[in-house]
Amino acid sequence: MKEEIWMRRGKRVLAGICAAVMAFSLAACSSGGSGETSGASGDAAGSSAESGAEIKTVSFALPTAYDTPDGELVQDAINAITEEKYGIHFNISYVATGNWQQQSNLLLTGDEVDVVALFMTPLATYVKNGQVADLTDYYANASEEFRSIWSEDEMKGTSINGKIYGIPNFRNFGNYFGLNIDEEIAAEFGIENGQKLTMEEVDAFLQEAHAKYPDRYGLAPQGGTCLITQWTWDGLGDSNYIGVLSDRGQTTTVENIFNTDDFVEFCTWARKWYNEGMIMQDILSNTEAWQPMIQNKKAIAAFDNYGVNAVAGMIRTVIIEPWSVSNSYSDLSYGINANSKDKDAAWQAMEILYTDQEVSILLNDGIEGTHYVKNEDGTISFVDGKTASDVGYGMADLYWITPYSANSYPLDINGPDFFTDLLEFNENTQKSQAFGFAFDITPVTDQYAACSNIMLKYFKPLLSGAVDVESTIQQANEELAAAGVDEVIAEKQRQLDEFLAQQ
Amino acid sequence: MEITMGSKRKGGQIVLNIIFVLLVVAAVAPFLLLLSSSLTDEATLVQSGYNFIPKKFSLGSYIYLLDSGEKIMRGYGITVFVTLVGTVLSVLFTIMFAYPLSRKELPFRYLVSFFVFFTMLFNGGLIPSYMMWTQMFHVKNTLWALIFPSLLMNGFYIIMMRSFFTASIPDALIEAARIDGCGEYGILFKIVLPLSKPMLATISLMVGLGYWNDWTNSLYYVTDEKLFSIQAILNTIITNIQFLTSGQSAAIQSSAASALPSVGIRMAIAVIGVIPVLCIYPFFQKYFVKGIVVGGVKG
Repeated sequence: MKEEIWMRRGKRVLAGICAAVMAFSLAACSSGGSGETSGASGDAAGSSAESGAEIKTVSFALPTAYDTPDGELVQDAINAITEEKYGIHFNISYVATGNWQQQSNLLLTGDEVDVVALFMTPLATYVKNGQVADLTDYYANASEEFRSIWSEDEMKGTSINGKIYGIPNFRNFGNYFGLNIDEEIAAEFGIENGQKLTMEEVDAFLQEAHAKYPDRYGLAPQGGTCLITQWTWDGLGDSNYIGVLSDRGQTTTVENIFNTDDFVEFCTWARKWYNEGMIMQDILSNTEAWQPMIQNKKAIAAFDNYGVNAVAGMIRTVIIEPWSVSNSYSDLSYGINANSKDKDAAWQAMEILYTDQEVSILLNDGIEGTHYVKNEDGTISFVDGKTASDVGYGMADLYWITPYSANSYPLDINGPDFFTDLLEFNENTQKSQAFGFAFDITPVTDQYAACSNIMLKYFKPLLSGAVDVESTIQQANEELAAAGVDEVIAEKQRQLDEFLAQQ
Repeated sequence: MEITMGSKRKGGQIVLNIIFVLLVVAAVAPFLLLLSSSLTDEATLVQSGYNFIPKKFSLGSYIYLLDSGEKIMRGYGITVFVTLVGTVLSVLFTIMFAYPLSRKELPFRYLVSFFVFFTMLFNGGLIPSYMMWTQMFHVKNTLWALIFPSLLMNGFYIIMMRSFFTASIPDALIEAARIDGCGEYGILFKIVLPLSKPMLATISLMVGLGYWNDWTNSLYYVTDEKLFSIQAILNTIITNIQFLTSGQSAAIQSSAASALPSVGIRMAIAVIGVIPVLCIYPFFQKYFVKGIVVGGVKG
């Protein structure tokens, strides 16, 4: 009897607590939903399109490497143009590159974003996951101006099985491979910007320079914990390089990278320099960026891959003429979310981003007077001697991220003809034989995963010089063979042959 | 006999002391290195690496942080706010969940306990959680996104607190309070909670640390950098640098890294992120061990 009363009272208390918890969480959620309009951008897009005359809202997400506290200012300025001219309202999200992979994949789970950069995840994976919309028809019906930006050949770079899923953005698609040298030391040794060097000449220069400046490292690690990650091998869209085309992609035979002469030669040089103390001995745990190492007189030079842009404080030399890997175009492109509620509006927004010069300038350079000032030669500089990281909107330094920077002004350090040079550079870049090919790992998923772990263990250490080349490669190959590397390579070759036969 | 015992014990003490001194050094040395590198001149830092005594003393990093103003300060403010509000809510909810579970009168309490226990083993995974929080609760880009997902309730704390209540609050005490005319709320707030201070302190500290150190909620649920917590800002800076220096992306060059925040500034942010925890910890410490030990009984 007594217990029953207690039970009842206990229940009442419990019920009260439950109600309180529920009420609280509901209140919290509703205030959360209404507090920030950007939080519910998908809904806002729908409702404003219906009620607010013809203005449609398009959410647009792109990566950035700098703080963009003024992103909203720029967004407002863009909307002031596009709402009137096209009836499109942009909701722009700037996502730090470090967070991009996570956040972009989460954004694509719903309709939070319409136009999105396809970046850091291979295009083929986006397509296989059904995350991006097929743009073939949209592209076929696009304006002349838009279609003239990329040639038919170039559009193949962002097509999968003949369907267009992304629009390439404007940047260097190939790379020179060379040695960046501190400009003072280069001047001292009579090396000029753009000079061609062989590896033997690089070695001779490093020996002399290192003898003269023994307290500075000869080479800074461009690849973080290794000297460089790309050289003359084409991973065919596979960043783990399991099965590559060697010789700047000018063959059609897929090989194990550890068996290619290019790779072994580079590693042997690296090993030699490491033993001579030219490279930091703790390179495998390095966390420093290479640019400040050269700029702060800690290192003399660094291998690098580059287009036509410059880096402050150093000159560039050429060891390998520019060439582009098979996935160069799809590495960063812009596409439309498969879950987007209004793909027509999203496509219209896409055309604006690529063709409207005013929008392009705002998106790439920011607002004149607030973020940049124009120079007489047609370049721009950040205001008040600020840098990309503290000006409030540093996208001008990230011309390679935004959809189409060729319509905007180049930054002073890159020179007035930068964008025309870049167009020319892309035209003259030699393309890999497998250009446009994308490897689908599905048939060999298990073997691929096993091999990836082994590549992670050996690839960078070999390119750092910190391990013996011959014995390490032998060990790696044994492990790779056990993990089924031959099956991966055979599958890659099969897919490549199929792809080439279709061309 | 006694003498040898004594010296043996002494010998053991010395060995133990040496071991603990070494452990203390291992724990403190990285902090000192962090502090000293945040106080070193940037160029010196890049040239000659980390040193326990700054080779060239400079407050440059901290001045930069003060100058860069808004962002860091706002991140700090957000972290403080989220930690305070989150901890209070979390402890409150945990008590309200754990206390009824500890009372024998509650029907189905084993079933409910099992549900709680189940969440310790399995969870919904990232994508479903994300869809639930953003599409049903619309927390995306709000402060709530830093408070509610994953951190608010934790099955482990609930079980721990329930065990504490069951083990260290005798039924007789509750009975006595009831006989003296105390209601259920009275029993909870006047009798049970005052006796549970060690537990409350332990859980507050653990929850608080969880909120203070969290950057994953910012990463998943916030794209507006104005709402980033201080840890998320630090994490973003570091991952940005990692990405731009790794040369991972085949077609993209790292034109940018030279203008990114440098080593000293990263260290300075880490220092200001750690200091409040260092200040608070001693006050909780006396309860800490007691709370875990008692709560851990009969897990």
